[in-house]
Amino acid sequence: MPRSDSARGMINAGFLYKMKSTSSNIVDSARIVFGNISPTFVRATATEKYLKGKNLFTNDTLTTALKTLDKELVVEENPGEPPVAYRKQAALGLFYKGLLKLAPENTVNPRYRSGAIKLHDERPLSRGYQLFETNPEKWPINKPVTKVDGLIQTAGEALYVEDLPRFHQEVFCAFALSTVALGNLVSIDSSKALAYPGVIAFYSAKDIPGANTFTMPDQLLFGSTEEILCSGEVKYYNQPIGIIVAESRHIADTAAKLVVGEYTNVKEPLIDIRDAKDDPNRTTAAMTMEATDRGEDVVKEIKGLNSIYGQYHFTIETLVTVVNPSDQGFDVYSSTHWIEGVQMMISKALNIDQNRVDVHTRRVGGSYGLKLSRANQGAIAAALVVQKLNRPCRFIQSLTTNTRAHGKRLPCCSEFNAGVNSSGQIQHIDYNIYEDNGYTVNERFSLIGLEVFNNAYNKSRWNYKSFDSTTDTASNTWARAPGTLESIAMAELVMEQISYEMNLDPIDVRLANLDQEYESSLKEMLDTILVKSDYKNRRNLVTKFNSENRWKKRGLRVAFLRWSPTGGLNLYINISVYRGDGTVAITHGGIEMGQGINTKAVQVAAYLLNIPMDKIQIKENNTMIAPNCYVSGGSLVNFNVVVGVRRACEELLAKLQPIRDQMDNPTWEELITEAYAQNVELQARGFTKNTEEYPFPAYGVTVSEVEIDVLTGELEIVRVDLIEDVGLSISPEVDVGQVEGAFMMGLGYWTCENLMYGKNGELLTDRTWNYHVPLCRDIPQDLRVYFRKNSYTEDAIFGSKCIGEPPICMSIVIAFAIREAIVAARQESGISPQEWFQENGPYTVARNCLLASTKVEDFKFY
Amino acid sequence: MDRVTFKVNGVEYSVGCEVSSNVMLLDYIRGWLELKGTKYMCRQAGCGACVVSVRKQGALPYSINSCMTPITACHGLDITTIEEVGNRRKGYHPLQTTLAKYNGSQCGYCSPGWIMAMYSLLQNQKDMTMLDLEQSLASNICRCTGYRSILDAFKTFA
Repeated sequence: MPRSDSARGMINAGFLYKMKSTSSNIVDSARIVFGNISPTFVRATATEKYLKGKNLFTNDTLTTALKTLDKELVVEENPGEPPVAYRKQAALGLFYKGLLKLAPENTVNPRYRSGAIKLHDERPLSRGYQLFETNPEKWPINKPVTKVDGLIQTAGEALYVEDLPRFHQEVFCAFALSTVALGNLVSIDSSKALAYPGVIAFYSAKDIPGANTFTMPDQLLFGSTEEILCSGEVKYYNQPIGIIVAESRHIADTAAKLVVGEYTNVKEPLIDIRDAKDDPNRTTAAMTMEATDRGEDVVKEIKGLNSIYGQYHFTIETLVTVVNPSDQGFDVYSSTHWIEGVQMMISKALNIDQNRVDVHTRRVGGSYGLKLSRANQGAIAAALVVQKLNRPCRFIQSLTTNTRAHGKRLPCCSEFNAGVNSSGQIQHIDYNIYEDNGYTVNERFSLIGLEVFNNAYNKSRWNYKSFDSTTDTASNTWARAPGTLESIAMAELVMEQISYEMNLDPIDVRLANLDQEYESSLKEMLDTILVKSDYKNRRNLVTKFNSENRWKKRGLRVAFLRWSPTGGLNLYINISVYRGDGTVAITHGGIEMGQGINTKAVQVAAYLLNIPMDKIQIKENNTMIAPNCYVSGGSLVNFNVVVGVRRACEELLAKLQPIRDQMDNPTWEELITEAYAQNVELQARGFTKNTEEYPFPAYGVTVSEVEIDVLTGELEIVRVDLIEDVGLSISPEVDVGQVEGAFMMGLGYWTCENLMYGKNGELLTDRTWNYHVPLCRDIPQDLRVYFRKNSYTEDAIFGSKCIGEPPICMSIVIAFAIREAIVAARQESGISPQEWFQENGPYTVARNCLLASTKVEDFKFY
Repeated sequence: MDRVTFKVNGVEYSVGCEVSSNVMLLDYIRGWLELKGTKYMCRQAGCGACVVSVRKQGALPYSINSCMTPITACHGLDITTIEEVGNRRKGYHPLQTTLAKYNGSQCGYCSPGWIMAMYSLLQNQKDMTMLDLEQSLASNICRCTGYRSILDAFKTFA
C-alpha cells in the first residue's frame, strides 16, 4: 500500500501450496494469484505447473520459478496506478516473501529472514515525548494551556462557514471546468446543464460586470491578475469556465459536468518543470546573489540536478463561501485568511462599493495556504450569483474541484556545480533554482525563497540565481512554507550529495559549510540533539542492522534548518470591556485556522490586564472591525497579533490608570465600574504596521531513522528527534502542535503524496482514493520534540519566534533517511554509495523499491 | 413499508418519497435536522470527518461514514451524532474533554469525526489495548496535528 492503512493494495498476492505430506517439501499442487497486474491476469498457471513435484525450498526451484513467473506476469500500464516496473518487481518480491515465510527456518540464511515480514505488522505502539521550559512567573504567557477553542471543536459546537443555517430561497453553485489544458474557448453549451431538473442558471465570464480577476497586482504579494472565469484563452486543464446555479449542491455538482466548452487550437500542455526550465519563453530570471568569496582548495567538482513536485493542501474544510444579500450589498461568509482580499476583489469584479461588501470569518477549517488567495475566486462567484438572482448562495467546492481547479505547492528544480575540498567544504558553487508557478507568475515566492536559499550554509561562496518558470498547470500558490521549503530542501540536498560523493559524514559536511552567523546556535542545538537522540550509538546499530539484514534496511540521517521570517502585517486590533462584569472581548484581525492565535491573544491579554483567561473572548473578524487587514500568512500573524494585542491592552491600561490611581488596589471589576462611571472609553485599539521587523531566525535540527522493506519499498519511520528554536514559546502546547503537524505534513510530502497528471494535463490523483496523505500509523513510531533552552528574542513579542512553517522544512530528513536505507540496499547490488542517484519527487513505496535496484537473481534461500 | 424510520439522538424520524435516493445520512442530519456538529469533506468515505455512530436493534454500536450512507438505507438504525455524545447543556463527554485537553484539535474540522469513531469503538470493543486502539483509527484524517496528540488523548481510554 502507498501508506500504512486505508488504501488499495498497489499489488497483492495469495499463495497456496499443497505438499505431498506434512513433512515433505515436495509440492503436490500450487495456486498463485496476483491482483493489479492487468485486467485479465489472475493466476500464475505456468509457475503453478512448474512447481508441481518440485522441492519448494531449494535455490534452484526458486530461481526457475521466478523466471517462469517473470515471463507470465505481463503487467499493463494504467495511468494513475503505480508504474509497471514496480508492480512487476513487487509481485516477484511477494512471491519470494511468501516462500521465505513458509521455508523451514534452518533452510534460510539468517540475513534473508528479513524478507519474511510484513513491515507494518511489526510496528509497535507509537509514543511521543515533548520537552520545553515554562516559567510560572510569566504565566499565563509561556504556560502550557489548552487551546481556548479546543472543547467546542471536539464537541462539534465550533461554527464554520458551512454551519450557517439554511437561508430561505438559498441556491448552490459549482464551477464548470475546462476539459482541455490549452486552447481557445470559443463557445459554451450550457443547454444540457440548464435542462437538468433543479438547475437555475449558468454564468460565464461575460456575466461579470467588473474586472474578471480574483487577485490584483500589489507591490507586496501579487504580480499579476488571474481570471475568475476563463474568458477565452484556456491556461490549464480544469480551469473554471462557468458557474452552474442549482437548488441543491448535488444538482449543481452534477450539472456542472454537463457544461460543454467548444475549443479551438487545442495543444498539448507542458506540465513538468524540468521541461520548462530551459525554455526562455517560460523562464525568467528572478533573484540573483553573487558570491563574494571563492576558495581554491578544490579536490572535486560535483554537479547536481534535483527536482521536487507539488502537494495538495488537503484541508478538511474545502473552499466554502456563503453570501447573503444585505440591504446595502452583500454579507459574505468566507473560509479565507484574507477577508480584505475577498471584500476588495468582490468589489472590483462586481462593480460595487467596497463598503457595501461585509466579509465575516469566524474560523477556518484548515488552510495551509490554500485559502489565502484562492478563497477569493469562489467568494466572487457566489457573490455574482447573489447579484444576479438576489437569492442567498452557498458555494461549497467539492474535493475534486479543490484538487483539480486550484494551484498547489510549487514544484521546483535546482541545478548546481560545486567545487569542494576534502572536507566537503564548498569552495565555489554556481546554483540555479527554478520555481514552477503554474500558468502565471503571480505570487512571488522567489522573493521569499531568497531569504533562505543557502539555508544555514556559507552564503559568501554561492552564486545564486533564481528563476520563475511557468507550466500549463493551475497557478501554484501558498502551501505551508512556499518558496522556503523548496529553497531549504534544495540546499540540504547539496549537502547530502557532497556527503555521498565525497564519502564523508553528513554532519561533518554540514558543519564544514555552516555560515558563521548561525554557527553558534546550530552547533549548540546539534550537540543537544545528538545526545538526546543517542545518535552515536544508534549510528553503529544502524550499520550493524544493515549488515545483518538483506531485505530490511535502515537509514539514520540529519537535517538542519535556518528560517528567516520577514516583518509586519497590517492588523487592526480591538479590545472592548463590558461594564456589567468586566469581561473582555477582542478582535485581532488575524484568522484562526488552527494555528492557535486566539489562544495566544488571550494569554497575552490576560497577562497584561492581569485577569483570568476565561474572562476574555475572541470574536469573529469582519471587514467592519478589522478593515484592510493583510493576509494571515508566512508564520507572521503570530507576531503581529501578539504585538497588536499588547498595544491595545497598553492603551486600555493607560486609560484606566488615572482611575486606578484614585482607588485603593481595586479589583478589575471595581476598576471597570468606576471607569465607566467616570466616562472612560472602555475600548482600545492596536495597529501593526507592515514596516515593522522581527528579524529573528528560527533554527532547527532533526534526526530521523527509518526502515524500508527492500522487497516492497514500504517504510516505517522508526524514530524522529526534532529540536527547534521557538524563542520563549507563548503557548508551548500550541507550538508543539504546530511543530508536529507541520513535520507530518512534510512527511507526507516526502513519502506518500504523489500528484500524477495525464498527458492532457488532467490531474489523475484528485481525491482520497488516489491521493494519499499520512494516517495515524504513518507517524514516527517514536516522536520526540524539544524546544531550545534559554532562547529569548525581544520584549515586544514576549521573547517568541515564528512557528507555523519552519518545522515542515526539516521533514526532508525523512527523505534523507530513506535514501540512506536505499543506498544500503543498492550496495548489496554492487552499486557504490558514492554514486549519487538523482530522484525526482517523493520517496514513495514504489520508488523506494525500484531505487533499491534489487536483482531478482539475489532472491535466494541460502 | 411506505416510510423509512430511524432514530437520531433518540428522536424518531421517517422519510418517504419526499427525499431523493441521493440524499445521504449526512445531508439529512445537517440539512434537514440542522445538526451541524457532524462535518464532512471528501464525500467518498475517505476522510472520516462525517463519521457518526449507529446501532441496529440488539447489536453493538459501530461507526459509519454518513456521507456514503443513503438516508433510505437507514431503516431501523439508532443514530448518534456528536451533539448527543456531549454538549454545553448536558455536559461534555470525557472523550471530548480529553481530546481538547491534549490539544488534539487544531483547525477542529476533523475533531467530531474522531470523537465519533472513538465513541463507537469504545462501546463496540471491550478491553482494548493501546495498540488495538491505534490500529483501529485508520478511517480518520487529520491534516493539522500530526496525530500524536490525538493518539495520546485516546490512549488514556485503553
